[in-house]
Amino acid sequence: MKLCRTHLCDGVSVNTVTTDRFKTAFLTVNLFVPLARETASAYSLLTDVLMRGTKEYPTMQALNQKQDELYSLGLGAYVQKKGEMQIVTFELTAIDDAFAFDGMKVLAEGMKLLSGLIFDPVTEQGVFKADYVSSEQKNLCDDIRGKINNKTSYARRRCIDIMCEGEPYAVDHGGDLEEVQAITPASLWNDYQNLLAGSLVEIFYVGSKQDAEIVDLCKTYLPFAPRDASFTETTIGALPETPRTVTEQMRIQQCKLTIGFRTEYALQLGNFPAMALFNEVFGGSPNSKLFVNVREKKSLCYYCSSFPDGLKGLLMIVSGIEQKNKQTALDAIMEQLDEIKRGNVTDEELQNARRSLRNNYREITDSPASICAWYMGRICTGRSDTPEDAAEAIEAVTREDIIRVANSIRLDTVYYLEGAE
Amino acid sequence: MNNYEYIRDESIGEGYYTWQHQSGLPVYVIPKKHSAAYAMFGTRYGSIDTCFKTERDEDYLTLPDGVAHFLEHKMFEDENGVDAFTRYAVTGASANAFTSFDRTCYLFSCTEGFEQNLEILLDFVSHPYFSKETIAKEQGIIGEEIAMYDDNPGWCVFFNLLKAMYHNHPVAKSIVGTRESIASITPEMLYRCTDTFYNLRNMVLIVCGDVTPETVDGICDKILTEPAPEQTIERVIPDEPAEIRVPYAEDFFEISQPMVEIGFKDVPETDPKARMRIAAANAITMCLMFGKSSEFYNRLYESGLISDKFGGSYMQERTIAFTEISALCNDPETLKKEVIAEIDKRREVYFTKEEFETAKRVVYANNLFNFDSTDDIANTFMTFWQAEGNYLEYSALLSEITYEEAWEIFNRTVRTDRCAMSVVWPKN
Repeated sequence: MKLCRTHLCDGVSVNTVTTDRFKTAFLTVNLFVPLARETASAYSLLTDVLMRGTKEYPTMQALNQKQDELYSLGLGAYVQKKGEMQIVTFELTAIDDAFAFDGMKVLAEGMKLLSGLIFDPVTEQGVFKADYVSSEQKNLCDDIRGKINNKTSYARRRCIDIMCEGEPYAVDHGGDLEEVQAITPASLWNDYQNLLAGSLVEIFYVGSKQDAEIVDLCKTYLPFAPRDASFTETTIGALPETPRTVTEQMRIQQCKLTIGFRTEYALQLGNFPAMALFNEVFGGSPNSKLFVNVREKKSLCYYCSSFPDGLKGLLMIVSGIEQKNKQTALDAIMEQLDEIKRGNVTDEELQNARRSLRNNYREITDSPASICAWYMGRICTGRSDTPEDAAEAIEAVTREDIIRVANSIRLDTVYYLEGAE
Repeated sequence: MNNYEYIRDESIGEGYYTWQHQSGLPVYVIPKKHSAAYAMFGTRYGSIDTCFKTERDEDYLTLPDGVAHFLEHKMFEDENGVDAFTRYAVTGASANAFTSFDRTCYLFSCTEGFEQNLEILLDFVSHPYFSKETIAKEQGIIGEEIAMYDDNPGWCVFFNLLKAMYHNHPVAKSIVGTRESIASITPEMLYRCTDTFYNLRNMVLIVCGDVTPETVDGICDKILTEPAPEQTIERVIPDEPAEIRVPYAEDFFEISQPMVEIGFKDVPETDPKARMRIAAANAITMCLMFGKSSEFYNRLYESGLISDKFGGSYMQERTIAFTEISALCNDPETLKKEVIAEIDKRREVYFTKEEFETAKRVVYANNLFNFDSTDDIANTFMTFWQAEGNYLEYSALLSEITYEEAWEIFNRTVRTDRCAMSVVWPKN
């Protein structure tokens, strides 16, 4: 599963992984820009407006019917966040040409359609069609308001917003209500032109075709001009002097406890393997200290887990608890961190965590989307290591390393979303 | 020495081995050259199996809600208090389990130590241990799981639809139960469930990965040494009228926009082959009628009534069958009228033959996409096994279904006179 990287022109590269493991071809076109309040909403709305149609297939129905003909070609446009970068992604999933029973060149046809989606949208008076823009504005505002629907993800997002207020990381890559409402067809067109001309372009392909063929297809269908662009560096925020506790209310049954730590471990700093192993021991699996103690021994919750952000250096812990156990649960979690600080980590725990991580890394190669996400995360931090390399790096992490992680991370925010009367 | 039967579908390039292990357990091995191998050990026992007996029992046992799921949690712990997760930890496998209406499945995926992991899986699932103390401990954990579902509006809108459609069928009861219902669970109750449903003849082992049938068979020989007794399980599902119970149900949550589910109740066929055919034909019709390229979806999307959070599907299982439409929508009544009008219109004037052929191609391709993931393959395999069908015959079955047949099945099984709607409204 080696990556082959080809530079097409300044600021535009193609990354291919050739494998016969899958029955599908998976291709993404990723436009990297800094995550910024001024543009995040526009780019988010843009992905929805572009999905409404192309010059050749000017309605959603015409576009979808064409996708159906191409063996249910999957086509999508969406925004993602990596550290303090926003990525506008166009994604294509096609059946491998070998399975088209009429001999159709599905990938080439699909890329032609993708090309129309990126470069040839429906226009009206030289800009985006007004009713496409207004109807997608309404839908996007509904989505933004809908963030409260999932209480677990809402609580986690609120905690990060509070922690990182004022930093680009707190900007919602999906868009902000007021910003979305202020967009016009002309302003969106302007942002679209800037995006096409100025973003860093990374194309990824996972499938059965050889690199040379994919590079040729990209040259034909994805004619991005050279640009002077680079990845935005994500800043690791300063450690807080005193942690804060924030409580908010909603009409819910279960209290959501989210805890945010700042750390000085990140992919771009080259010290992430120690954080990965620490996290696995602390709250990353059903054998972690949090799961075994807070859930299994104390029966305080159904889930209690931790997640590091590889670029921003945050470590988040999430759990759902009974309101009356707010302090007990927090103490139980902090007690497990103290255990690691004091060096109470057995050889067995360490070995198990290494094996579990190794398993997770190796499983990445079983899904085209995971392979793509893996290499995207590597490339935007200037790396190219394979999942197997990452598994090997874990072997070199010692108990002292993870004790050091435990002692260096700093509590930033304890956030409770609790039931209202 | 076992004979492994090998079945292959050349058109999609996939095949599998199957045999009945000498213990009575049916086994399926689907070779796949992935890094990870996936194994699933499942029983035909889910939340709807609330009243049953075998020929060994004098009386039927009626269970409180949530027992199958509770049992799944407790299966992980042995008599020494050792958790199966701890045993897996040595190999790095990632393990899990789930309970649904008609099944309980235990699974792992691993990139090394497959044989050891399969030993653990077969061993802990075939060795139940329950005590009052361990049950009490689990009640706190599952209590929080229940609270989590209670805060989930999507879960609520779906179960309220089932409650509106079904009078007596246990499908309308919560899979996880309530804090009160799980408080009455006893070790004796759980043992009777395992004696009945964790009999290997009521179970299945499905393995998907770079594994040979000989390897799997060898591990089965080692762990499953006792042949399971022959038995007949009588499962009592209360008589269920064809009609819906009530046409409307609602609830209120702190959400941004109403969540809507519309259901059209159907009566399941008794013959498994007929059920599978209906499900396949209606998959094509649902794609034609409510898919992203349908006239209906695009018209309502453009009018602003619905967004891309919209879908329609049909399900047909052994004891339940219904069409389900789900959406985020500010005007549920209008949506319901539109859906009914569309179904009634398509009864009279179905789709064109060209549209039908394209929809078949879509369903064919979507089925093919499933074959990239060992997890999807094994889970879909399980679904077909439960339905007494064969997953690898599905693409052939799809190609067999004619325009006339799909239209006829649609007319017979999607009934607008048996319509119920469930809405979860924003609280404020």
